Amino acid sequence: MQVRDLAAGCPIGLIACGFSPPEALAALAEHLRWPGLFLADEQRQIYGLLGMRRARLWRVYSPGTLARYAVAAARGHHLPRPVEDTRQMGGDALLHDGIVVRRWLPRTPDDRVHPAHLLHAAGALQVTTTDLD
Amino acid sequence: MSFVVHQFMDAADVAPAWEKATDPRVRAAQERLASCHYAVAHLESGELLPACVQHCVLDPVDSVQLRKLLLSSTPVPREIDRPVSLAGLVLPDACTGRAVDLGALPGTHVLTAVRHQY
Repeated sequence: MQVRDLAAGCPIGLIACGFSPPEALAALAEHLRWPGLFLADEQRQIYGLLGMRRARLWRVYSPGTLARYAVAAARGHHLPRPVEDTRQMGGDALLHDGIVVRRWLPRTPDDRVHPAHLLHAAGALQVTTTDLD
Repeated sequence: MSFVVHQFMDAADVAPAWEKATDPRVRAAQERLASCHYAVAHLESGELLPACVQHCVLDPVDSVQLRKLLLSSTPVPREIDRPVSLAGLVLPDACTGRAVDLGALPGTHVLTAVRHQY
């Protein structure tokens, strides 16, 4: 289940961002049928501001991953070299009126907050701020 | 020699199936419980029961504790609620090329930062 599906019909805006070139991100947005903004952050300004750090080398290239690559190479498969920073981790945040009020930073490349938890927190924030207004 | 093939079933289906509900949705679960070979003796009663029944019907509290124990070793993202202003941060929307001033966005948004594409 993706954030996009869970947020359908909710009055909560969705923003994605990546550090790939804008053309690549536009293709990804089209592939995902992303309903909101898809920001190109090539200088990783959001990543830096929110503390989304790079994973440790062994977390990305674990013995299991290296073994898989070695087997693939031995079988004659072409292994493309990465052209982007494979260690940069992503993350998720709640933004209200231009201020990030809550964020979830992964400890490894794989542990992201569950989309349902994210949308629940966004809904609660919206209710709270609406009450205050 | 016997081979045991595991096929997990939805926990929500086990209790009504064990209680012989007539709902057609849980009939498959009833049939699988009836033919289950993964039966073990219950620790308190000694009765030979399918493991699914022990987990879902007879020992639900133990199952909750077990789930917590197993999940405790899974890394979870660090949650931080210290505010960060995005005032002055302007980035282009990859789809339209339009410059977006993040600090001036009104309302609530979920922001998801992705990893590398290549």
